[in-house]
Amino acid sequence: MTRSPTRSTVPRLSPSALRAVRGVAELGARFRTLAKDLGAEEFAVVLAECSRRQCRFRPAIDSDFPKTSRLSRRIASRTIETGTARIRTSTIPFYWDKAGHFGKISFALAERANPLGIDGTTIAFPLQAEAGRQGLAVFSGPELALEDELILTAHLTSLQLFGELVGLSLAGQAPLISNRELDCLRLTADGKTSEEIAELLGLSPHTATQYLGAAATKLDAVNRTHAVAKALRSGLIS
Amino acid sequence: MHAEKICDLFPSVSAARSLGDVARIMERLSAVVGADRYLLLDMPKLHAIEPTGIVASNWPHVLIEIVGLEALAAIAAAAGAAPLGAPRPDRAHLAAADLARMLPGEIPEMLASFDLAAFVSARVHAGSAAGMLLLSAADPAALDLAALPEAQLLCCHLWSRLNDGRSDGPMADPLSDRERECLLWVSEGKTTDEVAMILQVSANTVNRYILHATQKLSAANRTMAIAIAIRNGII
Repeated sequence: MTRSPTRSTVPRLSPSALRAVRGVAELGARFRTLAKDLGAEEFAVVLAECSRRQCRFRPAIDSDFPKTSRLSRRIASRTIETGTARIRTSTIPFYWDKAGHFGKISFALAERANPLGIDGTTIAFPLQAEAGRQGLAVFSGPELALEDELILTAHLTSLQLFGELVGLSLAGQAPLISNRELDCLRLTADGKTSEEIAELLGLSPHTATQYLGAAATKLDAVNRTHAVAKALRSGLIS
Repeated sequence: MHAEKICDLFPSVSAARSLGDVARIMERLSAVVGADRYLLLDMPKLHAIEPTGIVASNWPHVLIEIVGLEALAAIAAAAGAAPLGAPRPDRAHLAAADLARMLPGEIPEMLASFDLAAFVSARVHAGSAAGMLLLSAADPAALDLAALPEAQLLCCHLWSRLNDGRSDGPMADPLSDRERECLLWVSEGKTTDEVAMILQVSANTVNRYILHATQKLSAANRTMAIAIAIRNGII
């Protein structure tokens, strides 16, 4: 378990951010339990960020939480081409073994592949969550013990935990944006002006502008275009 | 009759290669959760009901034609749309009475005449492709949602196998480097003048780049152009 720091190096967190951090720690504990069930020594959960050309992986949580483990950093150092990236076309888990650990056994619910070029016996579960978020839960260790039913339940558990993790981070990012402000942001992203938004939502143009201004402030954006970009990038709107 | 369990399907799932294989396994998968009919809808934007097509289904063709893609998507959206990995739902199926409220007159009757009395839906993914699995039964009591999460995930496996080797074909990037750069800076909150300074060109030039980008992306204005560009990974 993690030791509490002897001096505080963390800036003071808002109550909602604190709740988010505690939530993440709890999720880490549940991932740790899952790692144990798989016979894994360590785990790393990463978020996939794919542009048109490349996919990169950003560490979300791993065995060394609140620090970042070597496994996470190794995965994060890999860049793969979006066009051929497995994560874009398949939700099937993939695994590879060191020194023929699994011998000739193959599994129905996972494919042998090592697209990330990671060392060691490992299984990776592709994950999806709200707002189009994608990720990977990677479990690694010399004593990894796999079989189909376990792969299925581990995948389901990882998906559930990932969904909670994404939910936490989305909530932590813009905790006070109201539904009306979101509606205005979405309509702005679809090219609507204040007048058009006002008509669509049954407001006055002045009110619509106010909602957009408030959203921009909360997102720490300089104008509505910047606010829309930030909202899209953080998954607040899709 | 021996009722199949989810684990009985594993070997077939890994061997599935063709649409025919998928269809056969989907029938068995539906049976595990007590459904008679299944429909796998390709829906790139799950939040906005815009289905692009049907991946696999054992609905009678004439029924699909009469009901139509849009209504199918609406039914799928209302029938629970369980996210992948969500815990077992205890209920969350759509009944015929709910349908009557949601859809125009003849569709609920049509569905009833084909023995579709209860619906449950679940989100499925194949990588970044998103869709909905719509399961239906003649008798609501026949639906057994206990195995739905597993069935849902196996459906993802099948869809992924169909996708094998296909790239996901994101929107081609029609922008020039300068146009993309201008959009990127504006999306970071820079004004036209600031972008002009950054790129060492005139403000007029920046506006022209942005105008071209907006036109190329078929957007109403620069904000919408930026939204489209972000959604398609162009910036």
